[in-house]
Amino acid sequence: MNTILSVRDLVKYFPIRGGVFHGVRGFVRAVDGVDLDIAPGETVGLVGESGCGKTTLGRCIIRLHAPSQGNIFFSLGGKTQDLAKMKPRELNPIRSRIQYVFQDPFSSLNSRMTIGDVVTEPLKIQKIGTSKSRLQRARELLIRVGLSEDMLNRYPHEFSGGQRQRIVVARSLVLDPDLLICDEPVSALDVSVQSQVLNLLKDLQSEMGLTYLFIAHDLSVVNYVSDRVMVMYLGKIVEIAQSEELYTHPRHPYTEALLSSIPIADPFSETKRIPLKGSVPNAANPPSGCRFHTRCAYAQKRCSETEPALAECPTGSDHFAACLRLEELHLKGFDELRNRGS
Amino acid sequence: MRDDRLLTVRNLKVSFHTDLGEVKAVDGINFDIARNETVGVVGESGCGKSMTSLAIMNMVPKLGGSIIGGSICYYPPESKPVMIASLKPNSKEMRNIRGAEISMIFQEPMASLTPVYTIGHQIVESLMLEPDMNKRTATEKAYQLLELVGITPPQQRFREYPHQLSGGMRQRAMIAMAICRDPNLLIADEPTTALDVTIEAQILDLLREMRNRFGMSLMIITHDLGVIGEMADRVIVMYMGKVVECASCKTLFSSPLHPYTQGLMHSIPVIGKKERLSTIKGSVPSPYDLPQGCSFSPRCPQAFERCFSEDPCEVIKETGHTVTCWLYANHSADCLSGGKV
Repeated sequence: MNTILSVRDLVKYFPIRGGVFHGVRGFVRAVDGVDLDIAPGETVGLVGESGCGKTTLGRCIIRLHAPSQGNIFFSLGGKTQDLAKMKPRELNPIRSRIQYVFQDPFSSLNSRMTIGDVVTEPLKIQKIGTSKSRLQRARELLIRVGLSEDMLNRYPHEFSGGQRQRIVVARSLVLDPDLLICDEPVSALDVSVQSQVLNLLKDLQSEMGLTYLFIAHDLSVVNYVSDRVMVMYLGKIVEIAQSEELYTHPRHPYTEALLSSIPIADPFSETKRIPLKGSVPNAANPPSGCRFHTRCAYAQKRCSETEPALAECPTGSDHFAACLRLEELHLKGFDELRNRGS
Repeated sequence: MRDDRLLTVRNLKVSFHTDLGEVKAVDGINFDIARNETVGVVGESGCGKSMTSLAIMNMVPKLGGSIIGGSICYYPPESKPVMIASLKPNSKEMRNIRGAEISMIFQEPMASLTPVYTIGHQIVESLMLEPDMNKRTATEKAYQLLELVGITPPQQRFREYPHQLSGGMRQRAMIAMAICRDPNLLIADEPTTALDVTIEAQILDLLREMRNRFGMSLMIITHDLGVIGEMADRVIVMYMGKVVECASCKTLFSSPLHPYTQGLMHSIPVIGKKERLSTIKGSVPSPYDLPQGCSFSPRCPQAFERCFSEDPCEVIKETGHTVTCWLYANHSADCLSGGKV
């Protein structure tokens, strides 16, 4: 497979410190051995509950966190580099190729900088163009994301949440990157504005040939934007498949439970809920064997003993799941879980 | 309908005085809640949905905020109706209603539980407000409640502090506190917004179960049409402090009338459909600078001249479906003074 990004066995442990001498007491295993491939021009959705490590994974890829272990191969113009091994200074040119859109547009814009400063800053850091040409570029981008150029001299507080998120998108595109990591880009926005930003991201992708890693907890949003979807649970990927395949034929019990939990804006349908006991266990002390066995409706004794690896499903078609009972279970897809009556 | 009504809100107005001018958070809204009914209130941030619920509890923030007009009438099962809006917020009558008759749960369970007392202490505290209650019975009842809302083992959890519980467990504890005095109306303000999907499903199931078990009415305030579709019997759609549409849940989802409701329904992604989402253009206007006429008119795809100059009135369709929009007020007879028919 031709990939722009391939992550191999990525691990990020955060030390827990405590005691008199502030010694290391243990580790929070935020990301625990993740493999991931993204092809150019593709949108990969990453879903999971809060605390499952999806944001940490995104931040490791752009090296906002230094990974504890593993490789991050980023291909650029025929050259492949391992971001995990690079020194901070060497990362500078790479940073212009990978950009990040943060969740909360209220805290990701410096309130003392004008919009013009915010959008041109990446160009300044990369020493591209003159101040005039930078402003020209900022103008073009602001118009492209649906704002007007007279906003250049205004400050972030003058804008609504949706407009701010557009500014954040403009800032991340100013260097013409190849890969955009969007971390919950619409979850802080109002419903009526959410769809505007989603459509904008889709349009920009087809225009500029961008590749997205789209991190979100909302399964309907992920379904809308993604070509492929990965489901993450307690630092591990439990299932990867083409978006449609995942929603119609999930192979991991966790995915099925997630699908059955989505509240649906359709009073005519009835949902068969797969009960998911309790909440996510502590990532500092994950359960033995399959990490999901404590909450799984189909768990057997062996699930608490052996840890399943991500394996290709018998149906093939690029569908992988990490479940010991992969071949015996017949899980229900989104439509099967709901009886659409009238 | 007349006899099973529990709460009627008529022409309610809540307003805030700020340095930048007056903000009409709630601007003349009407609605009813019947016994054993689940009413969903949906709208975007700043539309006044939370303020409506705080007004029902008579807890409008004192800093500049007040109920400036209209009435909220609560009909207890066996006694005379109470006009909530005209009671003093700290009066004895009002305090007897809060918790015992009308109760509320909030979005952020951590912010609404006291961090310095145990969960058990806080539940017992509200139970002790009941007349003729002693500590031992209250504790026994608290154990039962914890068990009922799924916080197990109750004896151990009773002694735990809020920070020892997960988000979902805290929300369960909030629900236990809210229902401990067997209220007739439970208001849930964004009860699941801070929670994950799997926990959200558990909490919605719990709310549904408690409603059926105790025969309460439920008022769910949310921005998520999914939660509305799962829970509500009747839906109130709010925009900029006004009720723009009100109908039974099924009617609203099958034939929304107001352009705003239609826009909302078409702008949420649906699993299995990959067609381009339609959008509502622009964003919510500033409350200091409301547009002339209908406040949705600058964003409305179907707006015509009248919308930009005159406030629309409430039009009532045969099925009890009400909509506040000029598109449906063909004859002046449809629309009597002030929208009240």
